[in-house]
Amino acid sequence: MEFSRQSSSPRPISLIPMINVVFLLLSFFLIAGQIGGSRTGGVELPLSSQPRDPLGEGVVLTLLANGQILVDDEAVKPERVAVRVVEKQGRADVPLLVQADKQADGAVLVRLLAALEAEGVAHVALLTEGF
Amino acid sequence: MEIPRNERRISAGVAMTSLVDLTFLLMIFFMVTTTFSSAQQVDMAVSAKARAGAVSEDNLLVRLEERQILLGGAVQSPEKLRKAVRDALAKEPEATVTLAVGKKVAVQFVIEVMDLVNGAGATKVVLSEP
Repeated sequence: MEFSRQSSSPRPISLIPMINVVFLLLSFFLIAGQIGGSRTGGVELPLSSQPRDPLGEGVVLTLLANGQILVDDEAVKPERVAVRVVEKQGRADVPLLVQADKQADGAVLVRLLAALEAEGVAHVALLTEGF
Repeated sequence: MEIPRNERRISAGVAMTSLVDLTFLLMIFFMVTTTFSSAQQVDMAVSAKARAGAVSEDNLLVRLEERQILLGGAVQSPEKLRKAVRDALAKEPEATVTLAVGKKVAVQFVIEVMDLVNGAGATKVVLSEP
């Protein structure tokens, strides 16, 4: 019995499906991700197990673990925070997003929020990390 | 005069190899540098007035000290707090839970207690100074 001999030249790999998949992955990473550090800029947000509202836009107040306070990435003294936030907000309906490090002192955060409330800042939201 | 036709055909296809190289390079770059954020926001209410004496009977005052939950001066377990919140809501569905944040309390612990209180059904949670 005679077997047909297979040709010795290898079959060329079809590149088109591979390119399709690679482009698909590329588009996914472009759309779904953010390059480099996330928007929180290295602040470790507290983890929350409850479903919360999606993140919106607004003036960002950062409370670092060492107690330093930043308003839109600009260091501000604790006594000047409320005034600076009101200046940044311009209009009163711009929400204030507070990103406090999970190791930061809760009492400092509450004092800060109370000072903001006294200054008339109405919409304050605390950022958390979902699971 | 007849021009002799070149028998060898030159392929006019696109050079795929460089395209694939570049695409892979881009893909690896995005895979390495991309971070996925799942940040969410919790609308906060702070009440400087909601101190110990000012909290009415229908509302619940919870003190936080270090990693302890204090209810009526006694340290309570998370389960006890959950039950206390449910009892308060059964009496007054619009009850406000005030979290008085004391010294040496990390923000993470405040959020954990807020999760617990929200999980028990309370929608109005207020932070206050001790």
